[in-house]
Amino acid sequence: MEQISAAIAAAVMPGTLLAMLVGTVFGVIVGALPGLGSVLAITIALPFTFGMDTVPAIALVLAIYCSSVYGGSISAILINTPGTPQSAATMLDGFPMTKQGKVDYAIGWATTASVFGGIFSTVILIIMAPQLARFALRFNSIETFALISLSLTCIAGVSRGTILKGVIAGLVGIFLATVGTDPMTGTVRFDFGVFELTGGFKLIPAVVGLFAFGEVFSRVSKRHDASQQVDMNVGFRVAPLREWLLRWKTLVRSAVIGTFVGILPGTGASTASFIAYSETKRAGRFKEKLGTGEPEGLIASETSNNAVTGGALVPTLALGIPGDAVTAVMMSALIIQGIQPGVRLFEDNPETMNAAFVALIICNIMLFAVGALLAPLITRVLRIPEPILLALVMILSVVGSYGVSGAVFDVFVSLFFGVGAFLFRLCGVPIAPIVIGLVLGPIFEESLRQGLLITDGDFLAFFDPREHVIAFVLMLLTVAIIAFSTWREIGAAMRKKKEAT
Amino acid sequence: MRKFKVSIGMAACLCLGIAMAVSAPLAAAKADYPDKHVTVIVAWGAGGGTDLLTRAIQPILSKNLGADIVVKNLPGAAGTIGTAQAARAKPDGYTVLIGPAGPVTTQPHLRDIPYDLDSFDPVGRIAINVMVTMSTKESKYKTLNDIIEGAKANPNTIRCASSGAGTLPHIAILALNKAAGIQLKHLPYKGSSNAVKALLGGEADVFSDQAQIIPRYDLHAIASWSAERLPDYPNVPTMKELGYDFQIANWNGMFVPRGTPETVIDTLTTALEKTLADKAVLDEMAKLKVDISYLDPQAFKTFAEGDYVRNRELLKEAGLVK
Amino acid sequence: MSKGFQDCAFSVSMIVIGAWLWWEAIQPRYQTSAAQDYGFSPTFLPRILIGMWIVISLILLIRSFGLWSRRVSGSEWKTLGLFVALVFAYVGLMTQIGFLFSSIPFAICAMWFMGFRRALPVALIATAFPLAVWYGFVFILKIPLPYSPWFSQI
Repeated sequence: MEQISAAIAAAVMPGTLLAMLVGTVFGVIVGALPGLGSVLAITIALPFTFGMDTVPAIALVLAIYCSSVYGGSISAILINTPGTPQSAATMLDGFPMTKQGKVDYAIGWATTASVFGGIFSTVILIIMAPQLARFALRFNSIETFALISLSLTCIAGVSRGTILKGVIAGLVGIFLATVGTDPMTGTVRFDFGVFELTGGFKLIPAVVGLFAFGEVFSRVSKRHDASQQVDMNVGFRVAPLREWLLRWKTLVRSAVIGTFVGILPGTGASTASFIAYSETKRAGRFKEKLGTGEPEGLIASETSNNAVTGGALVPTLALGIPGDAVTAVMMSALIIQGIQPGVRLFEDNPETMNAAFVALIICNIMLFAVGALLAPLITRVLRIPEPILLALVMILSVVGSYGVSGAVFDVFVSLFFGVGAFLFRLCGVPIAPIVIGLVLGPIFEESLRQGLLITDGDFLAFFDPREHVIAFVLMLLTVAIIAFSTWREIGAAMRKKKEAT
Repeated sequence: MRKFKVSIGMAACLCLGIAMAVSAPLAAAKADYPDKHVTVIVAWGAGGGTDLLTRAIQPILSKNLGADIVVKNLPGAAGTIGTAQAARAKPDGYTVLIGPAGPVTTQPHLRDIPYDLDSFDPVGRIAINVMVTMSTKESKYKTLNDIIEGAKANPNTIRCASSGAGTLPHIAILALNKAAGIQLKHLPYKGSSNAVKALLGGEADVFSDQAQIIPRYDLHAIASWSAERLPDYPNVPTMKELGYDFQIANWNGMFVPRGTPETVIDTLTTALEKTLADKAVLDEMAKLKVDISYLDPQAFKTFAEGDYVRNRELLKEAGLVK
Repeated sequence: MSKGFQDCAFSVSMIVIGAWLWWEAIQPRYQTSAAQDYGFSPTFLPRILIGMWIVISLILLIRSFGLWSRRVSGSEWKTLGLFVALVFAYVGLMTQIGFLFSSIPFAICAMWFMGFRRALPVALIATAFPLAVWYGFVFILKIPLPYSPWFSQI
């Protein structure tokens, strides 16, 4: 009991609370700006942690982590361009809600869902971190391959009505992820002599290009269409409890998906949000209305991507192996403080870790407060005339894709993706599968080839139920989902044909 | 219409005028080196070993040099993208590279890169981390002999993880293959965290990396690739004792583009040496568990060239040199 | 344009791009020895992906012939082409004269191009916003932005 009160005492000291507040506001802003991203936000804060005490330093970094994931949803909802790749799925229902004039409710849904996801995964982290970490260790290359294959089926969930084109977009995404140096052989693929491409396409410039530039280009090309603005309700509104209770299953399911995906090293919040969205499309109460501004879609995406924050900390803190790219940078914040992450972290630093857990819960609560306060200001952005808004978004997006690594080449990469996205949209091809492919592609390929290396080239040995039970089960699920989706699509197509004749 | 065009033109001039007036005081005045900020390029992502090391010395180095230091992370392609950028920079001392052994002594052998070790003038070595081959406490490979015997009995079955093709753990595997005349199965992972995860999860049997990770993940050290036993691990035999005289260590050093004036390099060298002797820096490094090991430019050049040649031989024999 | 035309154009382009990338993937520079690639060439997965998308594009192409009559909305090509050229010019200019001096003209041109042509607000916003972004990024976030050859930080 004294442990808990000591932890709470350490976490609510003024220095720590201030660090959390600064971190939350900073994270929301950096998350909302297109490009940049959570990793950059924490990188900027790292030099400041050199001189800080341990608990405030950790609290600062945790606050930035949670709030930057949330911040991305703000721009996704307001201007249909995710501030961070983690919020790409939030656009699918967030922006339609804005177009209907309900932006205050949209931000309310997103904020509350994020806080729920964050606190849910933190509680799981506190209770079960060591056991879950051990479970995560059992996911080796072959199991990861099966899991990623299952995750790739969520491409179907985000390609409403155009599965063929969605699948092609997904394949293009995975292909684009292979551009660059092959980590297994050191050969450079598809660089066409451009040295800067030997590192491949970085995710954030690609996402800025696909969504920010793609969106601006789309709007510019439709300028003369109806540009009357719907009456915008600025502010912050949380929907009544009844609406929440109707969607409670999605809320919990998305939180579980987010936590679970976070626990597995290598996958991050973008993966979680797409899987959760796809699952909700399959089994949600309002699945028919998903994609038209249905809050259930917002819940799916935002709960899961914030739930990853707690989940990713499980392997990071319990094993010293980062759960995603962001926690990798966070680990260095610990190292700077002289704390060595690893299997002995909890034994060697119990007070610090307990204080960190309490801080994480407070960060999530603070997120709600900051979101509620900033929302009325930020939503007023929508009242700016569209030409001005688009020009400013273009400037911010260019800076956002430049800022990630300070290379102008990345801005050209963004432009390339932007033009590509516009052409795809012109042909009615969904863009989200490209991001899914880009995010999952590298892990998919690595786990496939590692697995083949281990089984000496025998692909079927992957699913031997005696050796790899988990992989077997996951692969069965994948095949089942693919078969079911194909069946349903063919059925729908044949029915349409019958109606037409 | 004409009035409109004129007012747009005037507006544009007005804007530019305001911008320049506001920014003019910030224009730099002419002076000796260094008279403006120095950019240190780190070819790896934030939070990694090289990055933390750089940020740890940044404040004191900045003071000793007398200029602001800006750290620029340019990750990608195993450190080659940032390193290439540093090689291309103007050799005036305002762009400096701090980096590990890999991009300059290993990567150039594997493929066509627009730089080589001699595209740089060395300023000084900062730190050195000896490679240690390790396994888990539950593994059946506890000594080097276990590995060699096992590999001789079943060639190409003992799984050795590495953090990627051409990285130092990979070089360690090649060195062991050559020295003991065995065939180990190489599993390249993307980065050392993934390699450690594979080791802990049982997918890999053995991994070679820097000694700091042994207490972190509660691993068992098999042998260290150094000339003398490590002070922290007096019970771990060296490869030399076991009969294989190979030293493999990861190091971090400072470089400038080739052709930088001597005076500039001297200024940097003096500042670096002073920084690495500073107590505050040594305290930070102790927290990061990094061993400072300064070498002056000439000695560092010889040292780096030695690594370069050795890596080339090993890679060539393994058939990996293009 | 019609949905069928959309699908047809898309699938044909994907098949052509796929064929070109496939040709690139079988070039000798991607051949590696067994020591290097452990049995699977670096273009192993890319080729599978390209193959799959060519097959699916063919299916799409065949299906598109049945959808020729369905209509979808069009878009303004010329406007967009000019705008994309403007953005490319902006980024190119930024590499030469820095962020601040290229963003101000770009902001003016972009707003004017998209229809907002009231001189004073344009001038004010086009100056204030890039200045604010520049200040925020360079001094607060400490992310250097491209600077001009005449000053050291602008």
